[in-house]
Amino acid sequence: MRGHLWLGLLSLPMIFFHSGFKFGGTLTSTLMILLLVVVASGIFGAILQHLMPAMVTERIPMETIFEQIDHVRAQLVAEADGMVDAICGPPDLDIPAVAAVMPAGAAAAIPGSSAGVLPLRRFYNREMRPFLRNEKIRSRALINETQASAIFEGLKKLLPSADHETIDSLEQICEEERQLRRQVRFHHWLHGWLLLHVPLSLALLLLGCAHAVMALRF
Amino acid sequence: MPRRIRTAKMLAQRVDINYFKRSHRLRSWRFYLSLAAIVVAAVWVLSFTVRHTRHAYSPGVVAEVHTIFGERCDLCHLPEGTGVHKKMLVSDKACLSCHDGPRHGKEVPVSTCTGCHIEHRGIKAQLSAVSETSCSSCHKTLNPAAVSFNSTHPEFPELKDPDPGTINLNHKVHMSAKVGATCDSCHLPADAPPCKPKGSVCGRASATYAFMAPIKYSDNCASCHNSMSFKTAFGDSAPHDTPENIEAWFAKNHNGEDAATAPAAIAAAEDQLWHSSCTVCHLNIDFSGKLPVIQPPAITNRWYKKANFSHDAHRSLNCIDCHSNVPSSEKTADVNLPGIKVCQECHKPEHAESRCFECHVYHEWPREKKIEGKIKLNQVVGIPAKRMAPLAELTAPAVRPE
Repeated sequence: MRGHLWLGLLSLPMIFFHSGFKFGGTLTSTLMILLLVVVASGIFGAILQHLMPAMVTERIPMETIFEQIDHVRAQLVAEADGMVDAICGPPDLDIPAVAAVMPAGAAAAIPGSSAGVLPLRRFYNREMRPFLRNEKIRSRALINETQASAIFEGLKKLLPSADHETIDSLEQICEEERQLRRQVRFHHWLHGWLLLHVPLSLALLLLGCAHAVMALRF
Repeated sequence: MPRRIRTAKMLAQRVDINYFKRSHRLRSWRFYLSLAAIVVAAVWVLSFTVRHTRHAYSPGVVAEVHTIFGERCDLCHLPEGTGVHKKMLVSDKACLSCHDGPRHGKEVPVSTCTGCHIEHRGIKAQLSAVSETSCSSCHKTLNPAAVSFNSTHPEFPELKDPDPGTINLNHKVHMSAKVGATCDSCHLPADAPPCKPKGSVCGRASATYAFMAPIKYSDNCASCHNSMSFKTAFGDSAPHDTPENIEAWFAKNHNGEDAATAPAAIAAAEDQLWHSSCTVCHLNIDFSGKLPVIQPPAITNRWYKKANFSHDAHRSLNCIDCHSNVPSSEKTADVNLPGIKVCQECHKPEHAESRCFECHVYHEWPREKKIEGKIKLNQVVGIPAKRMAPLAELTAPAVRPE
């Protein structure tokens, strides 16, 4: 890679001297433009690859394999589903209706019978689950770490202390999702420039061969 | 519910180990874009072949003088060899189809036309503008050596020897306030009309005045050094002519005045004329014979015979700017031409042209042979590429003249 970078950089002034600092005809002009774009994108990519790994290490401690993000995300959703169901009961459970038919005192044993259950279920269904599934939602509260922390603190106040660890785990899952989203963005920056660099390099190679053959022939 | 635990093993277990067998979006896009780029480039290159046009391969537009057949690559790029080894190089054969280029001396190694004259440098390029290295590759080893005008070009050899002229000329006196002559009182462009009326100072009516007209008594001197300068002892004025003709003039005009003294008087008058009038201007007169022998004026008409120079290109300058010695020149032997340092003040990189071709000519044009043009206009203009006739049908190959 170092050789590729240095030789690539060296090729630019050499080709400028070879061309006499002129663009020439159709093919040679195209080659020169391609070369400039390829070298520029290469320099851009080299800078990114020099700076971004440290940023990734610092800002994405829960990094995973990029191609596995969707798979990991699905696992996070399943994990969060389980945690919320443990507090609130099954998603389709009508808590008030069940409590009405149970003996007094036994209703307290129904999962999701505390005061914060409904808010938690509502919050989870409307905001957190779509957030974890990377769906578009109107509220951006969970995207912001501070706002998300405030929401979970509020939920803790509504729920018994036995459920606080679960809420912390849900908060951790949201943080992991935020980091996954950040990882996707960083990955696109780190590898997106290759969508320009690689195809144009191949075109440059092919046209360069055509130029060499015709130049030697003529 | 117990607190969420993240161990390395648990993290590893949640990953599908076959993930690498499946392609990801970014990688797929990269692959298809690469494929598309190769296909587009290949199709583009192949389209040149299909459309029978090599124009796209050209490194640049041809010079203006060649644009008439700028689309006809095959007129200059003649095929040599066959199959894989086939080349389409520009040989001298192509250039000599239209141009003759007499060699620069028989002892000089032969260079190809394209060795010095480089095409495809744009429509405004000057094909005769040859780089200095084309000349200095040989001239740097000669004596005197010359690599470039501003570094190692020797002083002009014409300045080494005195002016061979035999006419006694004092520029300082002529340009003094008493006489009041200016440069163009005597030095006129080569194609300027003669001064009319005689004796008047002519203006710069010439269209080119590349060189100055030769100095002649009748054109340049007679207006001041007129008949009054050649008074004889008889009181009349002799013509400005050869000694033989003046002797005949004397015999004709003063014959029979006094039969006893005429020959002696004539001889005395002649002698007085030779010594008082002729010697004013003519140097080194030989009086040893019956009649004086006047040396030819030997006024140099053209000094720099191996270099081109045009006064026209320098018309914006004052004569004395370059010929700075003239106002103080008192002797005929003074060579009042500017030396190389004067020229180098303007002719240097980033200023006036200073490459060899500006002044020197490589080809010996006096030996140029006329080339019969064989290309017809309707064979090069307005024809689709694939219907153009090959060069062999248009021109006969020329042989480089020796």
